[in-house]
Amino acid sequence: MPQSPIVMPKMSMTMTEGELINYTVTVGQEVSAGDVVAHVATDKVDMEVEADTSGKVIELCATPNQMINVGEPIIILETEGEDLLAGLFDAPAAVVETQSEQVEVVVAAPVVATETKSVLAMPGARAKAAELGVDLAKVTPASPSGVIQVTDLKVSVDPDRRAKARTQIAKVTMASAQIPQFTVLRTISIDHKFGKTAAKRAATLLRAWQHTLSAMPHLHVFWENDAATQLIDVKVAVAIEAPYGFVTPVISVPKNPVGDWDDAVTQIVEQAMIGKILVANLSGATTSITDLGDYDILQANVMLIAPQATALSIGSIKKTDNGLELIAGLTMDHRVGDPGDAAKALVQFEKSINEVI
Amino acid sequence: MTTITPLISPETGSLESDKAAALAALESMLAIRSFEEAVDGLFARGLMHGTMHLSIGQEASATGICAALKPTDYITSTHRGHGHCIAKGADLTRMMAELLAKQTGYCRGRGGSMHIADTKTRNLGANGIVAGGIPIAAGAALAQKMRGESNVVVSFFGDGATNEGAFHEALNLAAIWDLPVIFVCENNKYGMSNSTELSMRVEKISDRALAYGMVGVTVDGNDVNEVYQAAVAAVERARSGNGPTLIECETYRWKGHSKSDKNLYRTKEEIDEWKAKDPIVRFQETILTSGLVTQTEIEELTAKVREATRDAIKDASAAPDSDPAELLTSVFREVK
Amino acid sequence: MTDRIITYSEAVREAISQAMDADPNVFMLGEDIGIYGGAFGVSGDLYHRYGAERIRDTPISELGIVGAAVGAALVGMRPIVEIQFSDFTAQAMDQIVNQAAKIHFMLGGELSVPMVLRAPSGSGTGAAAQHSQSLETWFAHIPGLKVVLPSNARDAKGLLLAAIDDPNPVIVLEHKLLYKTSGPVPAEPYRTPIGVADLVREGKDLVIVATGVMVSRSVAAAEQLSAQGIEATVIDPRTLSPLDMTLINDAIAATGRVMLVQEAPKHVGFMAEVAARIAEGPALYSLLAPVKRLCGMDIPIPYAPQLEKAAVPQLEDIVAGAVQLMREP
Repeated sequence: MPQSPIVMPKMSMTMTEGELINYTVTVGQEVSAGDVVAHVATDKVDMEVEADTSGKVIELCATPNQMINVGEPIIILETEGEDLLAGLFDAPAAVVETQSEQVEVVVAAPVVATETKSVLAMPGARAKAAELGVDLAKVTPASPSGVIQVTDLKVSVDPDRRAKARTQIAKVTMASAQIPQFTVLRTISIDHKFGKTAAKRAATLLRAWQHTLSAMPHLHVFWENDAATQLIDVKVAVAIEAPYGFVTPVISVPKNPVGDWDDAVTQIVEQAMIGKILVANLSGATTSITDLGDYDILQANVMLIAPQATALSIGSIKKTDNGLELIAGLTMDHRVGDPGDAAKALVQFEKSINEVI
Repeated sequence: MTTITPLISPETGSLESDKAAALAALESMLAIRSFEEAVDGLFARGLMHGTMHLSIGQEASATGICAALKPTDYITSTHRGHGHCIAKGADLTRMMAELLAKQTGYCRGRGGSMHIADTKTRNLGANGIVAGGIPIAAGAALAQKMRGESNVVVSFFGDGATNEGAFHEALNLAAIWDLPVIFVCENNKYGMSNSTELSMRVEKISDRALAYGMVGVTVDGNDVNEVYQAAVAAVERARSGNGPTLIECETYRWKGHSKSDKNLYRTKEEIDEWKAKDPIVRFQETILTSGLVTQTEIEELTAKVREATRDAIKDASAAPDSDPAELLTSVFREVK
Repeated sequence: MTDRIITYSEAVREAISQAMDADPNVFMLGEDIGIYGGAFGVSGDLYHRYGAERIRDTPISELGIVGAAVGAALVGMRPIVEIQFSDFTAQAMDQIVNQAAKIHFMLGGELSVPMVLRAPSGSGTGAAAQHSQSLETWFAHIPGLKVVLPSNARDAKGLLLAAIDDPNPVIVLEHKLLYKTSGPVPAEPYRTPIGVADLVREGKDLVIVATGVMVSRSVAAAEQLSAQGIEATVIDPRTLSPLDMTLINDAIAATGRVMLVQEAPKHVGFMAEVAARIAEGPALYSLLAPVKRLCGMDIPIPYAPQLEKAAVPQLEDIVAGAVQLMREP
């Protein structure tokens, strides 16, 4: 005899599960379509569950007060007729999660904080001031209204700003000098073409570095209070040369970036190059990447930003017959790993970058 | 694509004495029942999203009315519109695909259960607004008349719609202009929870026709042949230029108004009483008793319809999900 | 093309007549449009020229009329509905908003509603609160409706012919005070594209964006301002939905100052959208002064002539507003 389940019904658009209150039938009992077989409670209402077909109860699948997911059986009936949906779906469909991956952008140290004093200025004047690096608080408006206009801005760079940036950078690098660190260099061969500018390369490097760190999780840690703390999500401080020194927007790299994630990264980097970072937040990076490939230097021996344990740097990039060669450097906290670990990581990085391209 | 046998006009003038027409009408009613039971099951199992309004128990009115129509005649439908759609000949796979939010659905996933339209079968669309389709039907009928075409338009709606202004305005326009339109009220006794006893003073909804100088009839909406007979008379009146008719089909929905109905406003006894008047069982008994069809033929038809429903679910499930990429470009039809 | 000087309402009538000559599917329906000739005389003699079938008088039944037009449009007709006063569209809102606007999208593109709904709009006739509103924002807020406000005779004809051709529902709000104004109108049929703004006047000092009757009022103000040495650009968006911001943005980039003028109440009005689009850039960075809005008061339109005049921007308000804007910030 065919069997047919009576399932936890979906009784509202938002319902995902229901609680069994009690059964009104027993095993062996004959029921007709429309007979009440159980009472269930949802977040909104208490409802009677009716048999949708006639048959004999052969199993009660739950106990009172038990939560049951929508679509899962409450009762199994032995029926005359076949279940219309029998075999079409083996299990309740998984709820489709369409969570979009978001790029988190924060400003990491070193950073130049902007003055937030209340100054009246037209948007055009603000844009120009930002471009020129002029502190609006120091500008005297010509208009009697006291609102600064574009014409009030003299072309002069704030001499304080570069100095302030250096002070910030000094703080970070002095802290870094306390870390026992070393750098391992390796030539990485890539079979494909690759972005011509640092902005266009960033997404690929980020994906590859995420891939590498996922494969070698023991290197993806923070060293704090004499111990390593394991990190899961890879958030990379991307060091970018900006008008007043390095800025480091932090980009969270999802496992499988989707859609126009690469374009979003390029945009973030390009904006950072002119000194614009989207969200002012000073923390979050778990590692860093410095790409100086645009400057045709051999390699930069970059420093770790505490408590990060790894810093990847990209130097000379040369065309080869079937692709590119670049020199990658991996700076590592010696307390976390040895040069052999760094070497293995760079071998993995070569594999990773060829895979993600 | 999954379609059922098109409805046929009986040569004998009665669905109860012409075998091919009777089988087609039975197939239509079985298909509506099967499709909606499948939809009910899919929703209950959490496999279907949104909400829907089932017409289980009302299959005879959609079928009886559409059996009197030509393929070139139009219909407008309601939020409880799966039956009208199927009786007019829609593709079950595209309907199911729409309900399953697929790109291949009738509305590409933008409309869902309440908004299926099918230009091929001249279904101008189900409608989520009570009485929304009634003036539209009058307008489509006006177009037929102005162009000298012989097509008629059927507007399906429920008892609740007859308390809307749109119903009264549309009936008045159709009457003064002698439009070829048939207003079909499927009186299932309740506008959501509000019963006809509470919502109107007239004895019969068809009495409302009198106010517009129009013919109004009330039929047993669970008797497919009686519905058909009333439809034939109304269609003939419309085609011959004698104007509209209001047909009231007294029927009952077995299921709740929508998926969140607790049935607090009606009794189990009342529901059982109407289930005993199942339009499908009644029609089957009539044509079996008269010897027009055999039990085997009915069983074969039932099995065929069941497979058609299952095929529709299978094919629809395999189709790609509806695509958000085209949303912004779909608001307007492109200007040529 | 041969231009003649004809009135705005003659231009509308000519558009209807030329569309009806070209396509037997075009017909008009509305209250008192037949032998009466229309409440504002727009349909005029069309009833005698085209007959009662195509110039179809209806009962006072706005919901029914618009619904019938939607239905006729769905099966291939090209109905032009006249709603006697735009205020009365409130009676027909279900058919406009829930049916006409949604059918093409909601039904997956299977069908469309090539319907035109014309209605006289605006104040200035002493008809008070229920016959004088400017309701364009109601319609412009609904995806699926196109909304045009012709501000002169030439556009009244060109936009209406484009609206009749359009396969989508188009709401055409004609201003009552413009019906008797005259202007050059080509005799031949022509289409003024929907969704393209018009540069009415060029000036280097500020931009005035205005709709409906405020366009001619702003041009008159610009002439007075010119005498004071202030040169204003005047832009008429013509179509509120879909909105073309290109011209407005370009003009602001050139002048740095903008004043937005509408007859409708200020609160959540159409010009609030224009201001928001400006704020979203790029025009924002060119601004030398804050965006200025000059709108109707947030009140129902009153009856007494002096009250009615005070309720919406007048010529002198526009001149004063522009002068003030030039002094800012």
